[in-house]
Amino acid sequence: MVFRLEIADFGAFYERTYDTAYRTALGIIREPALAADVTQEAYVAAYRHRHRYRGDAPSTAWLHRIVVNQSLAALRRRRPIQPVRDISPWMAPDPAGGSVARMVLIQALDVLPARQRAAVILRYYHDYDYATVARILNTTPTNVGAMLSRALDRLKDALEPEPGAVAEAGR
Amino acid sequence: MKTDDLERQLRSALRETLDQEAGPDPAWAESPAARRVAALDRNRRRWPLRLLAVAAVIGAAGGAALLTGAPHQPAAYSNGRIAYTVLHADPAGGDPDTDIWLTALDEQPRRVIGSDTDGVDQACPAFSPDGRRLAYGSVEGLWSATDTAIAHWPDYRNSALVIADVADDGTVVDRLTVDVGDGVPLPCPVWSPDGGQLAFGVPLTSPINPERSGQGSAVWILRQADRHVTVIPDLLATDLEWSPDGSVLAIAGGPETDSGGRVRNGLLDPRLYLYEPSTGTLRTLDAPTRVSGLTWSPDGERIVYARSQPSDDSRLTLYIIDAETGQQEVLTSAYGAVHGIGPVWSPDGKTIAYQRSFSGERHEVVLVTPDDRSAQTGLAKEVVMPTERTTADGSSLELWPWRVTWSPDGKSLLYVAWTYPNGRSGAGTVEKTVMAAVPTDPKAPAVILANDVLAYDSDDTMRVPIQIWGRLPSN
Repeated sequence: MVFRLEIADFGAFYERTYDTAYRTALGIIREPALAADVTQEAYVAAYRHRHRYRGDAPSTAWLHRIVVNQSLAALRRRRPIQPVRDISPWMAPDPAGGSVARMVLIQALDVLPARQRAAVILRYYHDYDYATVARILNTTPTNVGAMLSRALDRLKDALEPEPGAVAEAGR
Repeated sequence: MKTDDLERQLRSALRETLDQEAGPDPAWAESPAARRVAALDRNRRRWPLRLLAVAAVIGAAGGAALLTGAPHQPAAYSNGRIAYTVLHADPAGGDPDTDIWLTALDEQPRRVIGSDTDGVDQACPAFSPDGRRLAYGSVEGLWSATDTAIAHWPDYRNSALVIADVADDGTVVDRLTVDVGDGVPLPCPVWSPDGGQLAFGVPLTSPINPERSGQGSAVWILRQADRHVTVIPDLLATDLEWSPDGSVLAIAGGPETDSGGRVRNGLLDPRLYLYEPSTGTLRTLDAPTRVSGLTWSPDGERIVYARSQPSDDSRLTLYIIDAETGQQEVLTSAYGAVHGIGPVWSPDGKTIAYQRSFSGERHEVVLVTPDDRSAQTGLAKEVVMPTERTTADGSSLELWPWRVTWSPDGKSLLYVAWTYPNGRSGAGTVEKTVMAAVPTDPKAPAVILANDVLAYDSDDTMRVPIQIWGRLPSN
C-alpha cells in the first residue's frame, strides 16, 4: 500500500477534491446525472488503485486522470452527444443576465470530440501544463499542443461559422 | 477571433460556469462511492483473518498430535519465522513487483521468493502447520491494467499455487507447483491442520471487480499427496478456514449476483457454508446471514463471524455460533471498519481480535473475550490495544495497523501498520509503513521487524495475507 498521506484518509481526500472531480467530469460529459455517476465510479476506482499512486505527481492530477478516463469510457458506452442549440442544462442560471458570449462558448464545446474537450478542460479550466495534460491523456506534450490547436480551430469555426460549414458532432 | 482571445475567454467561461456547479454527493459518508468502498474492504479485510486462523489452526493441529484423546485442545507454540509480502516500487517508474520475504525477531529481513527481474508477482505466503513449508500464490500480469484502463481486470497469466520447503537456515526451495490457469488472480492458500490439503478461492468473477462478468468462481481443495483437486463450484469465497480437526472447511461467501447494471452489488445472500471433504457434502448454517469474515475457536466448537447490517453494510457486528447446534449470540455492538482483520481467535482460545475504525482509515485493534460478558449488556468485554507504543530503546510511536495476525505463542500481534516518525500524525507528516510485533501486554515494547513494508494489497485477490508468523519447526 504505497499511497501517501494526502490520500491515506480517503474520505477527507474525497471531500477535499470532489468538486473539481465532478466539474471535470461535467465539463467532459455535459450531463449532470451521468457526470455524478462517473465521479462516483472514479472515486471507487481511485480507492481500489490507490496503491498505484506513487506520489510523483499531485494527487489531484492523479485523480483527474482517473476521472477523465472514466468520463471518456462512459461516453464511449453511450450515444454520441448531439450539438445542442439551447443553453446547456448543466449551466447554472445567470442572475445577472449573464454573458451570452460565455454561454455560446460553453455550448460550442459540444462540437469537440470528447478527447479534445477533455484536453480543453484540463488546460483551460485546471490550468495544467502540457506535460501534465499529456500524462493524464496518455499522450505526448506535442500531441496535446496539436489537440488543443485543433480544438481551438473547431471552436472558432463553431463560433464564427462560415457559409456552408457544418459542425461535426462530438462524442 | 484571435487564438489568444479565445483562450482567455475559454478560461473565463469555464471557471465562471463550472465553478458554480456542485455535484450531488459532497459528503463522503453518504456517497455511493463510500458504500462501494465499504463493500470492497469487507472482502479485503478478511484475508488477514485467515492468517490468524492459520495460526490458530497450527496450534490446534499440533495439540491434536501431542494430546492423544483430546484432539481439540488448543496449544500455543514457540514463534518461528515470519513470512510477508513486499511490494517493491520501481525507482525508474516501471511496474512494481511483489516478492516474499522472511524475517524473525533475531534475523535480518531477506527476500526468499522472487526477484526484481522475474516478471512474476508472488504473494499470500502461508506457513504449513509444522512450520516447514511455505505455500504461496504467483501470477503474471498483475500490473497489466494500466491507469488508462484503471477499472479493468488485469490480464492475469499463469496463476499458480506453489509449495516450497523451508530449511532450518531459512532457505526456501520450491517443491510443487499447481497451475490454476490464466485470467484469475493468484491463489491465497489455507493449509488444513494436518498439512495434507490446501484450500483457496478461485474468483473468476468478483463483486469487487465490477467490470468482470460471467460466472464460474469456485473453491479449490488440493490434496498434496496425489495433487488431486476438488472443486466446489459456483461459490465465491470471501473467507476460508479449516476446522481445527480438519474435518470441515468453513466458507464465507455465496453464489454471485449480477445487479443488471455495470455495477455489481456483491454477493447474493452471503452465508456460512460448511464443506466436509470426507463425504463431499456442502451445507449452510441457517441462522447466519450477511456473513463476511469467520474464525473457528481453537477447540473447534464455535465459530465467530462478522455480520453486516441490512441497511448499512459498512457496519458490522460479531456473532458467535455453536457449530453443532447453530445457536448463536451477539458478541459486540455494531462497529465500522474500512480495513482490519475481522474476528480472529487467539491461539489460546481466550481472545478474539478485530479491527474497527478509529478515524478515517486509521483503525484500532480490539480484543474481546467471548466467555467474559458484561452483566449489563451481555456483550463480550473488550480491551482496546493502545495505538501509541514504545520500543525497546524507549522511543514512542503511533501504530495504526491495516493488517494484523497473531504470533503462534499468542502473546503478540503482528502488525503491518502506518507509523509516523518524529512525532504524531497530522498535517504534513508523511507516514511510513512498518511490520511490527506488538505484545498484547500494553507495557511491553513493540519491535519493528521491517521498515518500508510496501505491502501488496490488491482488491483482486479479495483477502491478502501479507504477513504470517509461523511456528518454530522444532517445537
